Amino acid sequence: MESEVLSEGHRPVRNNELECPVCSKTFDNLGQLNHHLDFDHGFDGDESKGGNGTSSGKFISQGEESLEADNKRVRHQNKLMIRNHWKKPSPEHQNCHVCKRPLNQINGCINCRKCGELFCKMDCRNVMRLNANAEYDPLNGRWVNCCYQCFIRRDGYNDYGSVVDLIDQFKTLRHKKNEDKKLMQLQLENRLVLLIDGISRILKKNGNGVFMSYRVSKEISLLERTVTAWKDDRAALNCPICSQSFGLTLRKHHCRLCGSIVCDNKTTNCSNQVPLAYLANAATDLPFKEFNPQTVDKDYSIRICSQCIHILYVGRKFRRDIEQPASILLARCESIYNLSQVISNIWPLLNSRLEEIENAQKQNASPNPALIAEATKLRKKLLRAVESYNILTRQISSMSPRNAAQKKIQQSFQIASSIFITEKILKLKSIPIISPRVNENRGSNESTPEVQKLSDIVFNDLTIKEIKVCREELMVLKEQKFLVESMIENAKKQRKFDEIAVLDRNLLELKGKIEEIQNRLGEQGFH
Amino acid sequence: MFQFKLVLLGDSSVGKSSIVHRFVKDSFDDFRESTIGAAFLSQTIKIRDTSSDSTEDTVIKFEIWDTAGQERYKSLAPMYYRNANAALVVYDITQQDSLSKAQNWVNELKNKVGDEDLIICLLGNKLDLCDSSDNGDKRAVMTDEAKVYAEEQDLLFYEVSAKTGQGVKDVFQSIGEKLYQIKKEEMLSKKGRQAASAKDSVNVKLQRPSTNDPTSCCY
Ligand SMILES: Nc1nc2c(ncn2[C@@H]2O[C@H](COP(=O)(O)OP(=O)(O)OP(=O)(O)O)[C@@H](O)[C@H]2O)c(=O)[nH]1
Ligand SMILES: [Mg+2]
Ligand SMILES: [Zn+2]
Ligand SMILES: [Zn+2]
Ligand SMILES: [Zn+2]
Ligand SMILES: [Zn+2]
Ligand SMILES: [Zn+2]
Repeated sequence: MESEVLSEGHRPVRNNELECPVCSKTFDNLGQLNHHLDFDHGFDGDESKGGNGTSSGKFISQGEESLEADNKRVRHQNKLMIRNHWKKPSPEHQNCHVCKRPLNQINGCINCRKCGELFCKMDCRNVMRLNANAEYDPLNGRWVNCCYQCFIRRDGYNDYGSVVDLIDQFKTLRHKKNEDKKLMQLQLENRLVLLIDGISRILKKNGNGVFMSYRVSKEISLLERTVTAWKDDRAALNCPICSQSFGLTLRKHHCRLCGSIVCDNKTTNCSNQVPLAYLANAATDLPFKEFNPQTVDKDYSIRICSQCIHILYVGRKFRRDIEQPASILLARCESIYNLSQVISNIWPLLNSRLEEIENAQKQNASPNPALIAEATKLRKKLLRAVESYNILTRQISSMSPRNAAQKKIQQSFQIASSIFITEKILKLKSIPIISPRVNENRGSNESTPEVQKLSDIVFNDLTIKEIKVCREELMVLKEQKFLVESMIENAKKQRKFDEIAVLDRNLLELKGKIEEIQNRLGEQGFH
Repeated sequence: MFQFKLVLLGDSSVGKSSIVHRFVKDSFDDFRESTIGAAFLSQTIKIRDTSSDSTEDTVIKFEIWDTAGQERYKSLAPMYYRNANAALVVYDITQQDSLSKAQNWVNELKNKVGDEDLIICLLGNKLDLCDSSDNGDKRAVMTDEAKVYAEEQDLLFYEVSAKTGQGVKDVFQSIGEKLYQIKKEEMLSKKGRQAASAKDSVNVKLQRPSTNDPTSCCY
């Protein structure tokens, strides 16, 4: 049944109708589509076929008749398009406009339909839609060959696909939302002023601090309802903030500012009784007229929901907080951040100096003393910065945080600084540095610069193993120094003066070596 | 009098101190204490100069640094082998691994000192434990093994016994002679150079009798 309907439809639907994947034009058969692709879209890569784009390609023979018709139509339409801007082959125009190859049977000779310049076949392979006046018409134009320049200069061309800019749309949406919020806040602020002023007036009129009569309560209640319309009790089944259903244990309350019905659950804090004085003092920028913090009943409070509190006071509290001087913890954190910047800045400088020195050494030239001096200076600076950094890190670690936020900040900075330090030290360790060291060659005692691990000198940050080795060596040296000293005593007693000279020389050497190791150990050694 | 610095290296208890004491004091102690740090001793020997016509012997003096073989004192060694004229690398003939320790020392000397004039002498000690017929042969290092190695490395080589004193004096004697020979050659070449330069300066003077120096007699 259904297939019958299809075949007997009003419009003759042809099963083999083909659509061009590029321009969506439909064709009766594959041959026509092939030809269209070759001719209109330049997919025909066979260069041996010259000519003006009318080449009969490799289409399948079954569609030959309709192709003939198509070609005729194409020729006809070509005639319709203006051609007076087309350059004609002439002595001035005998080479391709782009690649300058001669225009001939082999290379081809095609006018760009848009600019009219003459091109070889290869340089006129792009297609675009032009109308009869050779203007770009993406909707009704005909697909024609054009040069690359015309192709990319057409309106709307991009080489990365289509882009839809949604930023403006986003901005308007956001703007609208912000406007709504602002309006809401203004409305709530007006109500707050009215409420507080009104209640203050009523309280003042009836004498402050006196027993709250029914009449006064009634008067205030009336005022509250004029300031904001209370929502109907009966309609509310759940608290709009925490979604718990009201009942015997969960009482309904009206927020005096927005009028909505909320619960008073102590854990969700959906609403609270807030003293007038607190509300007014936390928003001193609002134009209260009747409210007097000295005279108003300090304990008189009104019920306000958490959402209203949020809208009215979170922004105010934030602005107040950032105006206050930073806490000690934050101040330290800021200094430590600045120091890390300093270290990060010195580091590449020192690095490049060391590289220069190293290069000089590789070429067996003694490095420029000014360079060494600069490197030494930078190294000292770095050392000081890292030292301060360490002190600050320790200070931050030893602080006791006053609240959860501070604790979080403290922990984050501890992690960050330890990562920073290990990163920097690891980097530093891989860098050699100049340091004077006694030349170990026989007979020469002059010191020559020698490449040594930066870590040895910059940080005294030897590994535990290195420290152990150094200490052991120091102990042995001190033992030997003691031995040689006693040998000298003995030699003196026995008047072996030439031996004393030898031993004295050795004693000097030992002392030098001891000092060297002590310096290397720094504060980790013992004296 | 010429003085030469001499250093003893080698694993602990191979008998370095015993050798030195045999040489210096001609004594031996069966229960010698392991050396602490590096001990210093000195001794003079007479060298018969065969090349010169004088019949008089030359006296040379050894400054001997006897280093401790224990691992703990290894870091001290460079201080004592640096600037040494000769190094006696001792191993114990009855301990195979003491030879490889000695070879390590030889390598270190060749790498760190790099002086062609440093005389390195490989000494196998405790020779008395090897050919005693009643106690059985305790030899663990064959003479040829050490000898081939020594020849390869261009070392002097002896097997000695500090206990009996066998070969000890000869070792020091031959080292002393060698050092003296080197020293003499060095001095001769220096003298030659000095003589040559002296001759030059004479020539100069002859060529330029007048001088700008107001104190000169030629002025
Ligand atoms: N049988 C025999 N024993 C020897 C000989 N030389 C040394 N000894 C013994 O080997 C032991 C170690 O001798 P030392 O001279 O203290 O060895 P060392 O190389 O100086 O050892 P360190 O001082 O620790 O470096 C001692 O008990 C000596 O008596 C030797 O030629 N023959
Ligand atoms: Mg000893
Ligand atoms: Zn198409
Ligand atoms: Zn071209
Ligand atoms: Zn063009
Ligand atoms: Zn609630
Ligand atoms: Zn509210």
